[in-house]
Amino acid sequence: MEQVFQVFVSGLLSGGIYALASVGLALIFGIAGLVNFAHGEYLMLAMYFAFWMYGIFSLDPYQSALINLALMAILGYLTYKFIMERVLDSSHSIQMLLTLGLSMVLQNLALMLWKADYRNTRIAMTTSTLDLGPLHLSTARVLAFVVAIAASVALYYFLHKTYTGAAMRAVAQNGKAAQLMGINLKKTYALTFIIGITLVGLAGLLITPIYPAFPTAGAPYGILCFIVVVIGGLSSIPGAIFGGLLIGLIESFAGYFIGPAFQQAAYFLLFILVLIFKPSGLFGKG
Amino acid sequence: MKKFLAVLLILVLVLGTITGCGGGAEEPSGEAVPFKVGAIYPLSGANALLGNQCLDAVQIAVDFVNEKGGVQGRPIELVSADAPDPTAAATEAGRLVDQVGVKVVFGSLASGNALAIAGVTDKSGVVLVESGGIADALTDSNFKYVYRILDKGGLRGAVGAEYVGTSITETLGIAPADAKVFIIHEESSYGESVANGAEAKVKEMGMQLVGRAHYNTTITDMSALVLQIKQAKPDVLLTVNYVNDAILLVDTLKQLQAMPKVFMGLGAGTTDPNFAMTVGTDSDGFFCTDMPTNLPLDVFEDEEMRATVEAFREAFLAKNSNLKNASIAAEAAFAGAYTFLNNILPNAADLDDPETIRTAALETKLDMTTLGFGWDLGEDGQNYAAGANINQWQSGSVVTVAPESLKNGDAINVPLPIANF
Repeated sequence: MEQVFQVFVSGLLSGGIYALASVGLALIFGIAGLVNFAHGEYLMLAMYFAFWMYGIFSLDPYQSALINLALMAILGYLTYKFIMERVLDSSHSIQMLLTLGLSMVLQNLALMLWKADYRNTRIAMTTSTLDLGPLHLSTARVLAFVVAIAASVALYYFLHKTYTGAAMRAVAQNGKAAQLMGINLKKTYALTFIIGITLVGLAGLLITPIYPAFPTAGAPYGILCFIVVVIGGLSSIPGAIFGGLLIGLIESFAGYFIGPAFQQAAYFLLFILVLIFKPSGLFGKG
Repeated sequence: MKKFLAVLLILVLVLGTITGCGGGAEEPSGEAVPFKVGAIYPLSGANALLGNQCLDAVQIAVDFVNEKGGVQGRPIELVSADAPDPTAAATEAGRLVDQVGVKVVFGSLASGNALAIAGVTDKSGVVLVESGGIADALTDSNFKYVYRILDKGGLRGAVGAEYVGTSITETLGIAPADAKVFIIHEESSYGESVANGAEAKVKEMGMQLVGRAHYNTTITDMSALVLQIKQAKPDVLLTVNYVNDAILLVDTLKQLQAMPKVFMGLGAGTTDPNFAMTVGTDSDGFFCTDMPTNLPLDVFEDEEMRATVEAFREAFLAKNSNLKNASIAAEAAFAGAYTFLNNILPNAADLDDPETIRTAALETKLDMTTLGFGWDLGEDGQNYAAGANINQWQSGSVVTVAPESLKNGDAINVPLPIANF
């Protein structure tokens, strides 16, 4: 029973990070209608930023978080302004191809700049544990989970309790009507992209003490985010949070009871089932 | 006009035929025709670090042989190709074979890439000299022109498991029948081959196999896997990994307090210097079974070979100044290329005929290569003179603890001081 509880908690902790990485994607799709296949690469860039902050200035990822997030926000804005703004009205297939190309450019840029070396950010928290009776929890994962859930909930409240959030939701519901009501569409899209990229950046810096940075480090997370968002319901923030936690748990239980090789297959199976029986996702409308 | 075009066409064809016939070992100018060889490694992507090192090593081998006058008087021309994954490996192999016209390819670091390349080269009668991929399938698939200088996975797994069943059980003070072993491996043909060899040897020696699990290298959380290990409480963990997942495994073993008495890596991941550098002092006592590496120069009795090994190490470190030693992958890549260019190809009757190259590869027997073992190919293209060492991380360095003839230190930390059960 202790083992099962440990499996549950481990799955939940991983799920928190998946949720945080995914809410940014859901937000960008839900409000701006943009499909971003380079999402995982922004996570990779945040990991590199955190690594270099530690390597050069001895600031661990938590200490350098504000600088890192500011950099990600700037990067998000630049990406929107120079690339995504131009395909706002294009079909999703054009956006997919464009961002797929962008992901390759970012991967190879990282390879060119920093080589393929695995860049580990080893801080005390990397291997320290919180021992709660029979439970042994990775401190870094617990912290990542707490921050991830807090940030996801904060985003939810931002969208529902602030004027700007309401404007963003209005744009999501009907862009033209929102524009007629005086909402600046392009500014809203830009803000959405900035928040989305900053959130995936936050996920990146939180996993930096656990997982090394390398040019393709973001790729598995990018795929996983898409699965989470589709399962949760493409533009649903609560759906992305729920989907992330669900994927974490499925991964953990399938890995323990069936075998680690089945971890990924298990959530892909769920992905297929959702697409067949509820294509709009568990929290999706329609 | 039509007549003019017809005449022009005939002229072009005739000239083309004449120029084409002018090929062979000597160009019309009297200069020897370069002998084109290819090198296919992951130069971008996750394995680019070692891939680029391997390419450096092959280039050094080519330079060395060219300095000695090339192969049968023909200078060697190296053409490199980037293969971050098996699909790219097959595509690039096709390009090198069909467009560049290479006769020999050196590769490939990863077994998956090696199999993809072999599928293309073998059909065209182009030789693949493999010095990285150890999957059994590579030499068990009836390829005719695939020659592997290093040991194969099944044998490597067996070497590691045999050491557990003899030396380690003795040090732990238990009978082999009481030794509990858990095997985990990454799920490619490389991991599968090594793990199969290890499992067979564990069973043959009467040890208890208390679990076996495999995973995909893109795994980001190993908690579930480690909890399986924790429940089985093995004495010995035999693992086959790449470096990234090896580090994640060790971190998770420590966090979930599931470290067994003995941790033995059976492949590239745990031998990589980055592994010990990242894990830190906790790696002291971790075993890593691999090819011989950084052998003392006095192992090479032949003076010329000793000088070659020394010159390679110097040239390699000049290209990779951030490293203290040449990596195992680079040493193997150099050995494969240098042995083939320097010792095998000169014995081939016709460098453009793959049959004569095959004959030379199979008939040439060497007591020693720059890897510390000999060259003795079986009909399947496997070098049966190749062997694996039992190494151990001690204070951040790899120390060879077996076999007796090559050891340069004794095993320490058995059981591991950080063991949890």
